[in-house]
Amino acid sequence: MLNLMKTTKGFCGVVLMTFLLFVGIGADLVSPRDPLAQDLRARLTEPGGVSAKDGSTYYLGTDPLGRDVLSRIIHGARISLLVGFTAVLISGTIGTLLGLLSGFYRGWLDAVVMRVVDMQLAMPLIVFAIAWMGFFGAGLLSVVLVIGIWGWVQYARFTRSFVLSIKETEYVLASRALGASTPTIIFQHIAPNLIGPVIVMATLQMGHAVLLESTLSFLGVGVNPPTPTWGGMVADGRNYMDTSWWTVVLPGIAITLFVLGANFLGDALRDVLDPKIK
Amino acid sequence: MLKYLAKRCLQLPLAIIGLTLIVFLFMSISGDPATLLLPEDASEEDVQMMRKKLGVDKPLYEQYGKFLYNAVQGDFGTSFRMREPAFDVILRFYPATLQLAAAAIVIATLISIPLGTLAAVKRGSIIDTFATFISVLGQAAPVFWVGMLAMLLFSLTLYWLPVAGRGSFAHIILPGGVLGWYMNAFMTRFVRSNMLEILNQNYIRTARAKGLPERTVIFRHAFKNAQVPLLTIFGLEAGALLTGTVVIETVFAWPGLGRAAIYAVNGRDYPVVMASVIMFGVTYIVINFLIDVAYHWIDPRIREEE
Repeated sequence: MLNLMKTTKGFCGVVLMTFLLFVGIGADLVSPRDPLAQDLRARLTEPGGVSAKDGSTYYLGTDPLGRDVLSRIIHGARISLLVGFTAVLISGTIGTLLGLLSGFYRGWLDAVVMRVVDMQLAMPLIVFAIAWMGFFGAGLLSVVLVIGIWGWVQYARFTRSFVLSIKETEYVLASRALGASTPTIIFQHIAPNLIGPVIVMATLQMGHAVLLESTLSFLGVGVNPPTPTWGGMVADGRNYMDTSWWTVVLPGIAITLFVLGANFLGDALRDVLDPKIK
Repeated sequence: MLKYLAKRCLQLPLAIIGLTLIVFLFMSISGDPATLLLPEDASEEDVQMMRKKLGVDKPLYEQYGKFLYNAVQGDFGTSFRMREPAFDVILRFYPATLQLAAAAIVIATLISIPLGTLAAVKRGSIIDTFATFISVLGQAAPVFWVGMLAMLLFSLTLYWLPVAGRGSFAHIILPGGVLGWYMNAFMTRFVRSNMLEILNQNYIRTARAKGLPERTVIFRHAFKNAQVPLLTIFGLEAGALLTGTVVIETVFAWPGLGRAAIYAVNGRDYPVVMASVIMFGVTYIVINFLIDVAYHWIDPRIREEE
């Protein structure tokens, strides 16, 4: 952890992500208002404006339905974290496992996995997402599944090539000579070497996942309203942008900070976990 | 070269078949179209009749065969909303998307190549810091948000450029510029690291040692070798470009394929969804094919490996 914070990048990454993690988890405690509560008399109140109802301050203003922007950004962090973690967990698990097995066993399994990889690479994510949302409908689950299912390829390709190179090393041969079973070799001797690089990849992917979730929500094919999402907030404020900049600018800053945090943390983790590529 | 071309040409339809297979699978898993089209209180007989009429009572492979046969002829059915063949709808919007993408590629190339090269040559300078800042920010800030900020500044505050739509040259500056900025982030980083690698090569040291002026070293020796990997970026960026067009077209009401696809998704206009997905996919596959061929053509070493 201390090594991680030695560089400016690492420091910024750790601080940003820890902050967002706490905000997301404790959203109910730290948010000043209910993110869904509308107050049409207070619609598009400027940042720092006061509520006519109870005299309290809207620190970051309100949106076109009079909902508190600060509370929505705070709850939006929770959705972003949820999507980021779950999607990365899905893609990381599927990809690493398939990469491990196809690299180790080769044969038909490898052929099938690699053909599926090729097939998926022939379709950019946005096209996959449009196809998915078009046929199965949008929503939180769809977003998580699209991003999760999409991301496995990278893990699989990396893990596979890693296993291919490590399979022939002497220590793997030695453990085989000592009579270790195949599952023992795969999960006790090969898999632990993958933890570092996979964590780095997952951290960087999390930034991507959040960027993508916000893009889909902005396009109206992501998480359904009224659930507060940063991308959805930007879309809500779109028509009022010329008079109420905060409805668009502030959620966008939140997305940028999240992605920056994840990217910085990923880069710093790579430096710490894999000194070879420093 | 010819052998390679023939091999790649054979792979092309395979990739496209893979794409249609994914779309077909989604379509079949998403539900029974007969129950979607009929009212809720339709009898079982009516449903069966509709299934027969739509051809969904046949085995899956037969359905896929028919789907593929129709798709090859550009028949994706009639758009539910526009009441015209879905493929015609797509073809109408496609040129606008190509125009936007071309503008973005030109802008991104014009910025990233000089900026990335300069950042590598003057490593550690203010220009290098600036280039890094731009690419880090460009990769983190969502493109729809950057588009809206640009609109807020240039159209709604300074009144320099039109807010949205397509028509005059002025209309393409903002969407093309923002999409170019989005692509530029990755490209600048790529050009910089690629150039740094080349500048560390022995032949560059030799060129310097024999007293060539720095300008000649950079432009005649380093830059020439940096051109080949540049092609790779276009391939890597093709996916980002397509994502970008969908988003930017929505932000700037640019009447292209991406916006039409999003409208179709929101309006459950399945034929248009299907046609646009296939069109986007085919574009992506063809771009990558062209890049592969160009790569092969430009770099003799790759040809010799065959």
